[in-house]
Amino acid sequence: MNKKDFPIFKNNPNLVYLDSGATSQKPQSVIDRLKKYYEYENANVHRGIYELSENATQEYEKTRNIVKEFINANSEKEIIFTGGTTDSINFVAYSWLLRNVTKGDTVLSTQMEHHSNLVPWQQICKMRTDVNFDLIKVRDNFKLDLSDIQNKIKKFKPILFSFTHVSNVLGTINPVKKIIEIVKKHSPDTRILLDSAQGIPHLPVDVQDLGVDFVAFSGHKVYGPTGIGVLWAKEEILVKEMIPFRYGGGMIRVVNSDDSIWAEIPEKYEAGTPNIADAIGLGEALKYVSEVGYKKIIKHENEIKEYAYARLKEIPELTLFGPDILKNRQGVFSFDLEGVHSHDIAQILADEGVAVRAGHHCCQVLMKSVLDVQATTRASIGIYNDEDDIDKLIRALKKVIGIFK
Amino acid sequence: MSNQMYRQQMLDHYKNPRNEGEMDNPTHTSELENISCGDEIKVYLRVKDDKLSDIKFQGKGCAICLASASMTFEDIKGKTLDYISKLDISNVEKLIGIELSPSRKKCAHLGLLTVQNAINNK
Ligand SMILES: Cc1ncc(COP(=O)(O)O)c(C=O)c1O
Repeated sequence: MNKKDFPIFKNNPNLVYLDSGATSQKPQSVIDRLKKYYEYENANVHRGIYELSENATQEYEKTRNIVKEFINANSEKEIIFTGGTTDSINFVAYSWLLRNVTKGDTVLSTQMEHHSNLVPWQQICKMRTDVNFDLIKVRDNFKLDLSDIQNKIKKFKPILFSFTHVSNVLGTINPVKKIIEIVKKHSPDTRILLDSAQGIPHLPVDVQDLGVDFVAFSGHKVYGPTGIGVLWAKEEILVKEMIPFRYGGGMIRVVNSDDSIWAEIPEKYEAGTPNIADAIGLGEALKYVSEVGYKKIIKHENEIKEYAYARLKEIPELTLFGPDILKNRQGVFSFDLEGVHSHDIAQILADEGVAVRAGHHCCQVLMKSVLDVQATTRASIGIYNDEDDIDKLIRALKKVIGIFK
Repeated sequence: MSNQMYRQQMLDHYKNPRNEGEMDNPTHTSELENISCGDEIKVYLRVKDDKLSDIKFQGKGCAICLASASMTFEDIKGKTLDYISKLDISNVEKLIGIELSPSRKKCAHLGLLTVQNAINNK
């Protein structure tokens, strides 16, 4: 579906791209939008009185509105542009957690997190004395242990619970609303961050409906440019519970030699010249996703996911990680082939034109504590993949088995 | 490329590594890993009269890493420390007969680096 919208496939006719979990390919409309911006519209924002600058400001702010509508935020003031998910999470870690955490507090995350949703919390906790950092267990069925969540939420009443929407290794789609219900029931003051880096490219996110406090995602995984991402936070939190951790131009109202007064949100949290072009490109990507529509995306990706699952299961030497109940799983397939290291698999696949990922996928805790493997090979799908791509993957895997037999 | 890369000799060294195992009373040891991919190699050396008289190793990793280590160690056994310390990745590539991409060079290099590290640390 939609392969023709993505020029990379025209320019690399033999490419079988199964690494959308790492980054998605870009539709022509996004590429054209970036080009148009630089060719016709480039100027700094919030500064010039001249038309180009006014226009760039307008386009940049329009994108904020596109994001607001896309995730159903209450106001565009709640949309902070960042460099990506990692940047958004570090922002919460420094501007919110570091300011609010005190002795005896607990910060909760899970064993299935990407390093970017684990290391920032771990390190902030280490900066303070007597702050506990704990991880929710992943069960044998590759899902979060809901009773562990209940117990730890009850026991610790954590200041923050940060977890992923979809696991980038297992494909597990976490039952976000159910988890939030458990948290709210036992500890209504716990703030909740949802890492939707792997969620929003495939599933709609309605921040008000979910009832979360923070959402982070990256532009480049949702068919947009690299270097741009979003932090959404409730207005009340942005105003009352956070302070900037980056200072400089664009985020101030008044600067005196001894102290300064900050601008209003969201500018307050966007110090320096923002990534204007890529923000506008992200807006175009979200438009693209809206135009195709999540309904069609989900239907198509489900078909490919079911096909891929069935074909992978046919290979006896292959151990597949992740939930077997497909409705709980995104089109992400991490696997192990008996006796073959993931690097060797990925290399042979690469020579067949099949792009997959090998390694720990920035999830060392999951690898060590849950899967007990050093590395896996991962195939992950996007809207442009079709059954033919899966057939080529399977053919290449059979070649690997043949070589190492 | 992979047909060449995973040819018989490489696969044979991967499946049946030469000099695999531990050693009692080694004169030098070292253990290195490639953080990014988790390849790990531990070497035990016995050095006599400035020569590598014996070597044993244990490793976990991909075929390129383990086969390169096995072939490199077979080659350097009996050579002088001076000779060994001058080797680099291009020698490994020559030895295994494959030109590697930058990401795989790291895998192939690990064995040699571990031995050189063991020698330098003493
Ligand atoms: C679940 C998850 N969280 C966070 C990230 C980090 O995203 P970025 O590297 O774009 O900051 C990733 C990227 O792989 C991810 O898969």
